[in-house]
Amino acid sequence: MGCKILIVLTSITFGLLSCSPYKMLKKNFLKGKASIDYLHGSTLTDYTIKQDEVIYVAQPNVLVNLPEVSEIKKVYNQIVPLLVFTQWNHQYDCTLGKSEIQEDLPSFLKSTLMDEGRRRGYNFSDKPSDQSLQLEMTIQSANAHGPYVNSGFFAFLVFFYVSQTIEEAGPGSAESSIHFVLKKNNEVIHEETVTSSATFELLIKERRTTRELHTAYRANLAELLGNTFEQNINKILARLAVSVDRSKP
Amino acid sequence: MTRSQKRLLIVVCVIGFLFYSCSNSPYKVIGDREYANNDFKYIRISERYSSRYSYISRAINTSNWEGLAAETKLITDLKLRTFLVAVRMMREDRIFDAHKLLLRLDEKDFDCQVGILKADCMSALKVDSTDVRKIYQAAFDCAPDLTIKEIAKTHYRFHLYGM
Repeated sequence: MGCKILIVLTSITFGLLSCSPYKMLKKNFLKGKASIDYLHGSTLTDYTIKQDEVIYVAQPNVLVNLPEVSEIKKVYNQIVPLLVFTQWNHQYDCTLGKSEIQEDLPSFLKSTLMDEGRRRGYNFSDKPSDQSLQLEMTIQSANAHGPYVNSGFFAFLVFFYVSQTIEEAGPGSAESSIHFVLKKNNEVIHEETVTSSATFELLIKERRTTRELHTAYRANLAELLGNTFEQNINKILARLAVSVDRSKP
Repeated sequence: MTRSQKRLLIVVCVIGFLFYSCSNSPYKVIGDREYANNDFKYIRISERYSSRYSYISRAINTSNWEGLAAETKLITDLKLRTFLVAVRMMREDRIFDAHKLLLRLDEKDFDCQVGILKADCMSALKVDSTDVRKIYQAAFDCAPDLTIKEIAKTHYRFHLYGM
């Protein structure tokens, strides 16, 4: 009888130890793509700018520090593998990679800036012309990452057991920085780097399966990165309004 | 296990499944003074639509369709009746039927929420994503106040991420 209990306990302990969340987290995080798109928040009827001058928007360059594929790095691992009491605490850092983002960053930046600009009355164009103003952009950095924690315990109390697992994702943060140059007749009118960052609250497992939590975390990181792009685009458009007015003879 | 016990087990499972699927609808109705967060696809039933908005909201949120039917009988406005039946169908995941009903209404009706619901239908029916985005954006632009704008954003978020 005692031998059987020992075998069961050993099996449970080894079972718990072999259930490292790393593989599952990586599998779910890398499966599929999340969009960084958002609805434009500007009001269509509230035109403050009405630009007659055409601004040619060049395809943005990228000097970005996003990894090609999302990275899951082990930050802290602690396991107490006693037979009657097993405790674990796994901590990871998840970084969103390019291949898990639905949009191509430079194309997204260009099209979103043009859409948002047109809503505000800018006269943006895809085609270069000698007379037009030219806007060049470089995505200098873009990053979205955050912690993921899986901790818990399993205690065997003779006739019954007690266990608890806590899974938490976040709080995640994202940051992006865009350098832009406005030129007229190849002369620089304005040059600046705009930077924005955003964070979101902790995601807990409540009412979700582990897989849903992982997918939601990836989606939240992508959404957060989209928020920083939105803020940067708004900043660029606000600066353009001033610069374009100044450039007029 | 006897035959009657098996039958009872099947009935319990079916009721449990129905209860689970009903309670899991992402659609939830709120009133004018309630806050719309990111957790649900909210639809606002305003006091301006009906003086019995609180009864209608409760019937929809608890999936009390008999109660909703009784409430809709008291409504003379055909557009509002159509809208409420469409909301019920969205909650029941009968997207195709809901879309057919929504086509009878204008996007701008009910504070542009018809536009939002039409976009939800297009999203569920897997219409091209660019077109769906345009409908959400149009509904957002048409929204008369911040609550409806937030609702449009949340519905679009569900379209993008399914949550």
